[in-house]
Amino acid sequence: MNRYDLIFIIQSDVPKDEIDEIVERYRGIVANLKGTVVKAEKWGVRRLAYKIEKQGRGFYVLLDFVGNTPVIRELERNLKFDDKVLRYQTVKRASQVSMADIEKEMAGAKKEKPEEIKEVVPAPGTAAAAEAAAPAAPEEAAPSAEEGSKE
Amino acid sequence: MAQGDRPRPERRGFHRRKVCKFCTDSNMKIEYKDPGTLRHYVSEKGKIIPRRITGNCARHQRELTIAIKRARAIALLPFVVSEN
Repeated sequence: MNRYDLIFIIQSDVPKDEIDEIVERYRGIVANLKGTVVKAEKWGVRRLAYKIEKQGRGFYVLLDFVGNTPVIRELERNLKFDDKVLRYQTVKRASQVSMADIEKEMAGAKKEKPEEIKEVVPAPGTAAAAEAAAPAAPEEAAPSAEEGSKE
Repeated sequence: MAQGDRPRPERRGFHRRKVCKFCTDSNMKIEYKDPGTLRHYVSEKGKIIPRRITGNCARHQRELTIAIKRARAIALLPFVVSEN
C-alpha cells in the first residue's frame, strides 16, 4: 500500500451539489478497490495560473488516500473521461505505509484539527564556530601558516 | 606571460553569505501544494531562480524544482508569464 495525493480540477461553473457528487464518486472508487481515503479536501474555486480548456478558474479537490496501483489506474481512467475535470495529478507521497499509522493519523485528525507538526529530531547542537587560535601566544606556539597577502 | 607582468586584480565585489532558508528554518517545508512559498523561488517570468542566486543548498534546490514543476502541472504556478 502506498500513499498518494490526487489533485483534480473541476470546471468552476459546476454547481456545488454536483461537485460533492463527483468527489463522492471518486471516494467510492478508492473504497471499492480496497483503498482508504485519509482526507478529501475541497479547496474551492481558485484562479488557474494559466488557462486550461479556455477556462481561467477551477475548483480544486485534493484526495489523500492509501492504496495500490489498481486504485490509481481506475481513478485516472475515470478522470480522463470526465469532461468536467480539467486536470488531475497523482503524486506518490510514501510507499509501503502501514495501515496502523494511517489509522492513528486519521483518529488524530478527527479529534482536533491541529496543524500537523512533524516531530523534528533536533540536530546535534550547532557547534560554535571554532575560532582558529586567534589569540595564539606568539612566544610559545610555533608560527602557524602565514597567509601572506600578496598584492 | 601576461599573468606575471600584470598586477593581480584585487578580488572585486562583495560576498554576502547566503544560507539555505530551508536548512535554517525547519518549519519551512517544500510542498508543491503551497504556491505561496514556491513563488519566492520563481522569477517574474515564471522561471525557477538558480541556486547561485537564492543560496539554497543542493538538496533543497532539487526538491524545490520538483515541487515547482508539480505545481505548474496543476496550474498553481505558471509555466510562463508573458509580457503585456
